[in-house]
Amino acid sequence: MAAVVLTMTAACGSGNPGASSNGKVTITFAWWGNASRAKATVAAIDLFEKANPTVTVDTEYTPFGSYDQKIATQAAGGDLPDLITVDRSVQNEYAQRGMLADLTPYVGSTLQLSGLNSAFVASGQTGGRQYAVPMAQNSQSIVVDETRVRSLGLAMPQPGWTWSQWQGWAQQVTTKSHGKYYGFVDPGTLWPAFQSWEIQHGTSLYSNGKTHFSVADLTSWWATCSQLRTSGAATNAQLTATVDGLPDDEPLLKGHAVAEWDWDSLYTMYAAGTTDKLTLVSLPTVNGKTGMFAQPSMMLGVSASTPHKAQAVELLDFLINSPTAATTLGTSRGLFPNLQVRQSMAGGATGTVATVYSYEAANASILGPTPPAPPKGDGQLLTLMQAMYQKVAFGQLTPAAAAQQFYSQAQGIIGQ
Amino acid sequence: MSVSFRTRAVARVRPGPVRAGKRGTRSPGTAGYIFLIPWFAGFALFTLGPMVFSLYLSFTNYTLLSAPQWVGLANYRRMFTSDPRYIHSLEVTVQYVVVSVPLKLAVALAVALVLNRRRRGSGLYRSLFYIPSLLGTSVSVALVWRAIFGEGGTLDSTLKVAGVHTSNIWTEDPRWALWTLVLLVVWQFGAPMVIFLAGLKQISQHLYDAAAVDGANWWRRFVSITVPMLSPVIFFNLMLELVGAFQAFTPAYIISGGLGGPADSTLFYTLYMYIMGFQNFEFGYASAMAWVLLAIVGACTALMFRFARSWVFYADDGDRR
Repeated sequence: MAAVVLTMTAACGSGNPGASSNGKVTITFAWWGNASRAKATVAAIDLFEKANPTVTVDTEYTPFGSYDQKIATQAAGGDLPDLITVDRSVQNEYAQRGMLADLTPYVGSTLQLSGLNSAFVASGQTGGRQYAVPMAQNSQSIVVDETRVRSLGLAMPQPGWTWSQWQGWAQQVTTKSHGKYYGFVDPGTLWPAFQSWEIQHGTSLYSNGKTHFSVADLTSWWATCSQLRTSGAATNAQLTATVDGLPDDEPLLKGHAVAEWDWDSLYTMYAAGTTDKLTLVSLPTVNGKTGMFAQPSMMLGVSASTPHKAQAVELLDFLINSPTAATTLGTSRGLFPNLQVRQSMAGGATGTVATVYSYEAANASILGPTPPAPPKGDGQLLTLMQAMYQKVAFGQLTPAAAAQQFYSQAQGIIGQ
Repeated sequence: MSVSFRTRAVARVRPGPVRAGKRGTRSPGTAGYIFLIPWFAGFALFTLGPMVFSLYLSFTNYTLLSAPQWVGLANYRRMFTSDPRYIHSLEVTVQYVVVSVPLKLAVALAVALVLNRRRRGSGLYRSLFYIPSLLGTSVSVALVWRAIFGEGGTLDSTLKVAGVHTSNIWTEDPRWALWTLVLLVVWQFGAPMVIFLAGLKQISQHLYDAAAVDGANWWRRFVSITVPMLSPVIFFNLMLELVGAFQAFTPAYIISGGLGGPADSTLFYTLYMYIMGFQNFEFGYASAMAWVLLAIVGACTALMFRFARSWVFYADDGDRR
């Protein structure tokens, strides 16, 4: 099967030189996401093309699930897009394999990074060279359907609530709605939710490119989630199994729960799926700690093999620094990376954009340091976590047994 | 892979010798080979080449992003010693094969028996029953299945009308998910049914008439005439379905969203192979899995042929028994 893909990609890997006779240059920009993100992005690119009449930008986007696969296939065929959106979980791998161009020579001239969060900029470096640049910022949140909560005559959950306070509140939701809605979507399948749990307990998922969580940590996390589930506060096993990363498929928008863990950069997608008022609340706490942090929601890199590096860098600079780009992109990927532009935007923001901006502004003081980009294999743990916790939720394994199995499999996946 | 199996199964099972070259006894088909060149070229380029390459890859670490690294038998060892999900996927697949294949053939045979009686409109019914198989492996059917058995699905709403409140999400429950897939494939019984029908038409009416004269009832005639006379066709269908079931992929992929969930309950062998290759970029490991699957299917097929001698009855070489 692999070989078929190889021969195919080799066959169509001739690549387009991109330059035509009239001096116009065509570059390609690739990202993952849904239609609403694509609409915003294409609008921003139209503005770029207007300002740079000699450059034409072709765009391609796919859902997140198949994006890395597509880029890897294109890389194998020598046909990478010129400007590539890069997920943090593969960023180091791409840089080490020589897929991404070293942007260091452009920094300070055509690529201005001084207006960005310096920690984020640093996280785009591999071996001291700048290979990737942060495109947006996001943070963890609980999306709450305020309309439904109010209609049950309940108060909204408050920032700083402990896990048990959340549980008590969520149980009330379930009871008061006579089981129509659950209070919470069981977060046990979510790898990043466990990451925050680790930070709440003063530790981390990874350290020096190796796993750093323990079997005991994971057992306590899954025991907490199981308590949420069995107490009726959180969704049952079947509903939890519908959580697949696409808000439209998940219990909150399907009307089975009123609160769900997610990145705030997905708030725009949630808001598009309902007429209810949705509010962002910070994560449940342990000893006052939320375990939240701000991170680059995605990175941008330039193909090492493109003959049009200068043009790709121009577009990259536009996407991270231009105020007009900021207005058009909104929060379709999270907060705009240039801090000054972000500041000026926050004032005039309305609707979903305003919600996300004010949420992050309110939490700026409690956000912890950004962890480094995860080691290779992180994406596999994400799906393994889902399968393993489902075994717990359906009663096939105890939290301790599942944690033990997960741990030993993770050792084989990370740092191979 | 399935194609080569099919052709071989057909060639081996077809009753009677193949009569070739009765007229022209000159050079045995140089021209034929010349005409076959395009096919051979395609076969070498798109089937044999990739297969040989995948055999090589199965002894390497290959992520698609950098050149393959030779690791010897490490991939094969890992499968059987340190990958519980692999063993689990094998179990799920065997469970699926063992249940779905006999069930599908039983349904196909039952419907064929009913349709075999001459009555008005039987041609129409034949076509209608065949329709699900035309939709067969398509993605759309799996999507429909998801809509029926999934969250807020048609089955649940229908049961609700009937007063049964399950609020069950069949596809999201490890106790049910695999069986919805079995049901899906059993429903697509059209292809074996048509083959059974053709086989039934070959059985001479005289046999039934003679048995009826001797006082054999319906069941007796079925067991003593229909089944033995149909056994080569049953065997043929069995082989096809067996090989196909081992390679089942699309419904599990669509219904589980590509993850084989919930709780790995629909993690078919091929789906896990796909996940390893195209989601985790372990193409070396995925290639090794493909070759082990080939070995397993090959062994099963060989066993079936061996076992077939004791129950498959070929009327035209009866002297062998």
